[in-house]
Amino acid sequence: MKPAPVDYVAAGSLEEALSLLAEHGSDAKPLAGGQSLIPLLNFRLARPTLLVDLNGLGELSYVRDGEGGGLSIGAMTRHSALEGDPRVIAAAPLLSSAAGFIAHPQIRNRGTLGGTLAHADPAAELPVVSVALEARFRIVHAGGERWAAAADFFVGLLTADLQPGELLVEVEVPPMPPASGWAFHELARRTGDYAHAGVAAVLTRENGACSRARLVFLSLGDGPMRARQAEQLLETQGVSEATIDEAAALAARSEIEPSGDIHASEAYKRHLARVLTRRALNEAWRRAGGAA
Amino acid sequence: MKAADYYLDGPAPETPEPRQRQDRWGETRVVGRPLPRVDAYERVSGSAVYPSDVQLPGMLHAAILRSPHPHARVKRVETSRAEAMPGVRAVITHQTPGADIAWYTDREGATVGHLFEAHCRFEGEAVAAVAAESPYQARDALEAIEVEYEVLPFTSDYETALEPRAPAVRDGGNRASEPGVYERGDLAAGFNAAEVVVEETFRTPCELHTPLEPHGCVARWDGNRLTVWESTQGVYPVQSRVAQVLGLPLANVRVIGHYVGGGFGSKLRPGKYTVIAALLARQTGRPVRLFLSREETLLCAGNRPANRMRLKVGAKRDGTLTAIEFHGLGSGGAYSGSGTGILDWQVRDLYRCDNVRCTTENVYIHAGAQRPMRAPGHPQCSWALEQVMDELADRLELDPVELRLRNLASVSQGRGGIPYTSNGFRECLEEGARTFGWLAARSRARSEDDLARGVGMAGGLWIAGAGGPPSTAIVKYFADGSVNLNLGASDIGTGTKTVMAMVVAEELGVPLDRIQIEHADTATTQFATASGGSKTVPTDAPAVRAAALDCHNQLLDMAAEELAVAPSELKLDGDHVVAVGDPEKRVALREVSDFRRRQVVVGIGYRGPNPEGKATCPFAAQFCEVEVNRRTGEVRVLRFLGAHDSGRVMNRATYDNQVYGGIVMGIGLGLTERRVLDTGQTGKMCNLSWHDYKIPTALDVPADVTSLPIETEDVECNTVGAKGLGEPVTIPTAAAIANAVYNATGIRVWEAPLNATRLAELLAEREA
Ligand SMILES: Cc1cc2nc3c(=O)[nH]c(=O)nc-3n(C[C@H](O)[C@H](O)[C@H](O)COP(=O)(O)OP(=O)(O)OC[C@H]3O[C@@H](n4cnc5c(N)ncnc54)[C@H](O)[C@@H]3O)c2cc1C
Repeated sequence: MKPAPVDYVAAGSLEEALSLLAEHGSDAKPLAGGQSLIPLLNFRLARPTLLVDLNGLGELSYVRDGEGGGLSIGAMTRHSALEGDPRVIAAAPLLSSAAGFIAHPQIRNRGTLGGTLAHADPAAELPVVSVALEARFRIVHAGGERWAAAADFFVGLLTADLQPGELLVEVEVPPMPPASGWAFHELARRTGDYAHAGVAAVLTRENGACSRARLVFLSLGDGPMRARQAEQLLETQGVSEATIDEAAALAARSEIEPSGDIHASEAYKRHLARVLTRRALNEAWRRAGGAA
Repeated sequence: MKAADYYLDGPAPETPEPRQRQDRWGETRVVGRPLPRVDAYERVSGSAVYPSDVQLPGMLHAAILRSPHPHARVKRVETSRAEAMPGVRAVITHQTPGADIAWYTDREGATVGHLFEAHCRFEGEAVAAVAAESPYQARDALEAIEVEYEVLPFTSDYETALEPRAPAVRDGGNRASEPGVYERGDLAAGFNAAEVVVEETFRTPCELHTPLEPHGCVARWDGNRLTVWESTQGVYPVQSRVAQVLGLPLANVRVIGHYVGGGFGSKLRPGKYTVIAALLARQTGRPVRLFLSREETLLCAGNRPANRMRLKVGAKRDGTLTAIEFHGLGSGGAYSGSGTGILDWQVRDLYRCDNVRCTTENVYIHAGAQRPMRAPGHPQCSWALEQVMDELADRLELDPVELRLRNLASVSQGRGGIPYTSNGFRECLEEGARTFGWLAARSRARSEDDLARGVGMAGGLWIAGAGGPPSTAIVKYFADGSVNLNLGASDIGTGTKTVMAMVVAEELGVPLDRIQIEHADTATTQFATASGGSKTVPTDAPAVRAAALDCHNQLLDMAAEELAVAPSELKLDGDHVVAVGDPEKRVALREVSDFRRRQVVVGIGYRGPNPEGKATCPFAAQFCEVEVNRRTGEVRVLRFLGAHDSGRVMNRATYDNQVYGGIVMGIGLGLTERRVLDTGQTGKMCNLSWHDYKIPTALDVPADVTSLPIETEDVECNTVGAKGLGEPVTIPTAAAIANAVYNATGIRVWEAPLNATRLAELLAEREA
């Protein structure tokens, strides 16, 4: 398919990008990896009049050590860099592992962290990971900036808390608490497909108990679906085979809102949520040094 | 029914008997070896020019406006806004003079659909077309065409299309034809004699061809002569249809095929796009490029019809089949009455059974027309027949391979009991099982945690294996011993050019890199039928062989004069001719004076007729091992083996490629592929992209695939001894997977593709 006519500017600096976006408001769209935006243009589902290309902004592509063992990651960092960067693998293994589930290598070589967060696809891996890791986003516009917590950023189906003129420029990933374990599991029909269901888990172990649990689902609602009751159950009743079963059942029953599609029914997605949660909690707890 | 009827419009014209004696090949020097493709460099370097690569000076880009509704009447088309847009050079509709062309006809020859239709009967029916300076402007112009549709109720579920409340697709209602009936023996007596009966209903999905290169062409007029570069499996069917529709002499229509980026049966004939491009090119006086978008290819470039099949099989305790009853239902869409074409063939022909009854019913639905897809009808039938055989074996406590061996047919029962020219089905089963390690794999421990392993197999045959006339080939032998091979057939990616060059090399001793090939061009090559039906090698290789022998004989005749030795006493030895009995008597070809004067020897070869009263079929047996996750229903195919009797192996490398590709395609049918129509609300296709129409990727198929040629010697089928290969390789695959899943889990899934959702449900039900 071919897109409708659209103007294009390759931004030479962040300032230029921001001023163009400010000037054109909702008629303009930033172009990152283009792996979501270009298909939307080609199918003529999106019709901006101006594309502001961020790919020339090398200053937005980096992985730096952040405060207290965390990471600061530039918005234009590609999925493949997250997957392979030794610092990401060491400090945020959940992030690098989940990035490997995104589509295929060609797409991971172009798609960016900022792009997938801004696009807020409920089937995307990294929004879910950012919620599970309690990441924070630096968002700038011509003449100002603000910080948003991942938990508040994904406001609905394909909708992030971003105003016209705003750019997400940096993601701050705090370190996982000591003695934490993580896991990421998803199931897709083919390798690289958007998942029917997926889950990210982070469990922290303190004196044999679970002091903190994070359990967030993809593809099972309008955005990242956090299972707070299941988290609480593990935090209050500890991690055992029985509580893992119970938490998985609880989350699958009442903390997700899947809808059936042509590839998988609602019931099957709930069933998968339960199976994947059990796998993820077992694995995360093992990584945290425990045995369920 | 002959497969040829399925691919050709009329009776096949005959070419003359070849004039050369063609002895059976003994040891071959070139044929059979795993030689790389003669066009490998062009293909992988990107220098091969596919039709969609053709760029001509001044070329315009065209696009087609299509009905977004499965059933609607066009009340008004307003094109003035589109015509006034920048870059737009032409807009045509059914009202444009010269564009009101009849396209679809029924069996009586009455027109039932036009090039541009005012009564749209499927989502994707062509309504208008534009030509513009750029592809972008063409798409923009489509949006500016205003169409007022009266949206009408639709029928998109073939299983309910005959119900009285189903909206009619065609004037006569939704029944496309009287049910087809085939019968032999006494069915009731057969079932009375049965000690076990298995009866089940099966479903297979509507599959799409999805070749990598979309359908389309570039068209250019030079005066009243039209040249079309078309992505096609056969330049001659395109030439004849275009000439007929536009009222041109055949000689004025040149169709150039050369490379084609896949077809799988969907490019056996021209599309509306070919004629539309020609009309736009004529109107604008400019060359026009018209290639469909991916979405258009999914909507209106053919499909393998979905089928519902009821199959009932009776057998004795010892496994001997006593009766088979088959009923098939399908739809060819809105414009094809063939939803069950050759669907029941394997029921009629594969296993020995005296009492058989097959009925088939065809209905119309509001969807794009079917086109033959790799082994039409056969993988569907195999899904039913081979699962029933597996179930029978289970109930009789027989090994599935053994059950099949007990029911081998010695003659072609579907053709009234005539013999096969060769039949390697037994060897496919026995040697396939041995090489796969079937017995050991079946007895291995099955499960570990959530994962269960199983093995399965299925047999099969393809209706047509001999190829047949007509085919004419020309071989030119130049003064320096290099050769030009000229043939009309397309190489649809199977390696046709390579195999044909090897046949020439075999007969003339010319190295492959001294052979140039001229093919698939109606102006410069000879008539050939489209490459399809697994018949290109068995049809065209004998003609090529005859042409090479014709050259060979002429060269010997000339040398005979020179050496004063009878031609029968001479043989070719590289670029020399030598006397068989006296190696001292030799002459370099370039020194043969008659040849020197002429500078070229032209050999013409014809494809002779097939033997009378005999049937030729390729046979197959495939074996696989799968791993099923009992919690999630995921099925992973771990390994596959394809044992195929397709007669002589012409090139082991291209042979194995076909086996791998066929198995990959069969895995798609078994596990992932299906067109989904919204039968409830809109009648539109729900998975109109490669994202949602799921073809297995390289990561979804096993790396461990073994091709095991069963090289039966067939001296009767044709003069090279090769039977068809391209289609049999995909026939048993899906059924073998279903049987392996049963072996792993004890659960049978009667509906393809074998859906993880459904399997997980069944597994959970059983555990509860
Ligand atoms: C075949 C295919 C399969 C895919 N499968 C998956 C999958 O399994 N999982 C998955 O998560 N994704 C998948 N994707 C999407 C891919 O990960 C995209 O890269 C990602 O969703 C968007 O990132 P991008 O950099 O390409 O953004 P773009 O497509 O360039 O932009 C996406 C949107 O975000 C906006 N935007 C981009 N950057 C910024 C910024 N810094 N600030 C504000 N707004 C911004 C754009 O204006 C646009 O609206 C797939 C894509 C394809 C083509």
